[in-house]
Amino acid sequence: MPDAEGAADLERLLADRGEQLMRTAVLLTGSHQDGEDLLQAGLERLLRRGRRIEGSPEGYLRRTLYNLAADGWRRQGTWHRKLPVIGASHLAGDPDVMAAVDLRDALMRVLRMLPPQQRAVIVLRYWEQLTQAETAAALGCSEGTVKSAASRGLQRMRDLASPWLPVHVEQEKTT
Amino acid sequence: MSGDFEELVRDSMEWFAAEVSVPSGLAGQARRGRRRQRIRAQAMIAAVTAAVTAAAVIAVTGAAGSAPPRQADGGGLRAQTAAYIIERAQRAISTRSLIMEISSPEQVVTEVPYSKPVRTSVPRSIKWAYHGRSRTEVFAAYLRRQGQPRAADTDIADGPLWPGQASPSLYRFTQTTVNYSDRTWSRGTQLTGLGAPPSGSACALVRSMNDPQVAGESIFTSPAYIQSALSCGGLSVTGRVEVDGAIAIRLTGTRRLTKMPLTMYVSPVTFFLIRVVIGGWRQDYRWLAPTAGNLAMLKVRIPAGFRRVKDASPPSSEPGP
Repeated sequence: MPDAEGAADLERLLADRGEQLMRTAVLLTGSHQDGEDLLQAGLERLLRRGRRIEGSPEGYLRRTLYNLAADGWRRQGTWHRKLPVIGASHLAGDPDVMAAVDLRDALMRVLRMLPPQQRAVIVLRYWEQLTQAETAAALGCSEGTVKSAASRGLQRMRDLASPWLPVHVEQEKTT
Repeated sequence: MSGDFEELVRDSMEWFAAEVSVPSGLAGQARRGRRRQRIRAQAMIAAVTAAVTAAAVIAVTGAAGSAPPRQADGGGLRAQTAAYIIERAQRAISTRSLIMEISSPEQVVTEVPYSKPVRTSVPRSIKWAYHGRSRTEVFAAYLRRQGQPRAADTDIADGPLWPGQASPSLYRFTQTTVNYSDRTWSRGTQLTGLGAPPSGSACALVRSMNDPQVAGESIFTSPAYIQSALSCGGLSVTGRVEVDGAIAIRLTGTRRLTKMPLTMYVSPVTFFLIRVVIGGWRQDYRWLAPTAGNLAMLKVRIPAGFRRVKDASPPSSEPGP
């Protein structure tokens, strides 16, 4: 791909789909900064592939993002570090009007604590709203793997976030 | 299965990603990154070619002991990441190149100057500061009905905004005050004494932090200060919240920094301050580009017909309105 043409294509892709891609990258990594880095890494691979890409560049870029994230991209880096979940006592003694925000925050923190593949599956299934088959195709694994990763990931999230969960959601666990 | 929980997870992801936008220049950065990779690859090929050629020459001449070709560093991504962090840090400390706008609603503040808390009523105010110059509009209660501010223009030369951040000495500043209630204005030059410079970390400033008006003046505004306070245990990260629709990191002060309840909210991207609440005193921050229009907010205007009166300011005081 000639540089100028590739650059123009890249600009167009980012203008059209950049926001959604960036959001996906942020969710896959757990932070804005790492999401930006992940998206840049994906864009670099896209540039490297150039015209050899089969299908749409966006599809290729998405698959790259998913796979980089699921493979524990930058496994040694800070983004994969397990961040401590803030103790629920912060809420218990504090009638914080932002409890709903804290709940979301807690869920995002525990999402970040999941293994990369489970996290990627959760993001694809519940954020991108892909089917099991589509998720399996995107990640290059079997549907069974997707099903078990989603189930385990959600269960782990529920366990870790249980101090924040409203009673009716907590009760679902036992039903 | 767990419909509500899945819904919560989906909702949380929506919330978390809601404010995300594509940073400008990402395509350019990717192109530069790709170019660096290509240069590295070409350099590696050249090195390998050179090594192979050298080995061939050595083989032909019968010499021994050729060194193996060097491996590619494999750390391209890490280097890029480091570059990103440095770039962000540079952006984070560039508040000096921006106009700081602090607005504060009318409220009651609890100060702990010594040991006993004191409650003080603070009028609504808005302040702009840039390169040692600041202007404050104070909407005193008795003027609220007319909607007129009392504007004060304080020029403290090129010195720091907060005296504790400078070397101990005296310095001069000029203050212009426009009083809309009696349609007068005054200008005076004052000297103020600076305190001893802080030694080491933000936690060394603990005494000043018990006076919200001093603490809130500008001590919080530097990302470097915030990072120092986090390092010395004066601040701890206590979550991610929404402040006026934007996502912010919530930092809570500890007793290493202040006896007063302190909560700070900073941008997760730039680490710029968004809001500070100390001793019940809330201040909202905005960071503005120094355009001509924004710089004009630093200039006091004396309305036509206002009468100049003798400056009634005390001979020495803290800088500020």
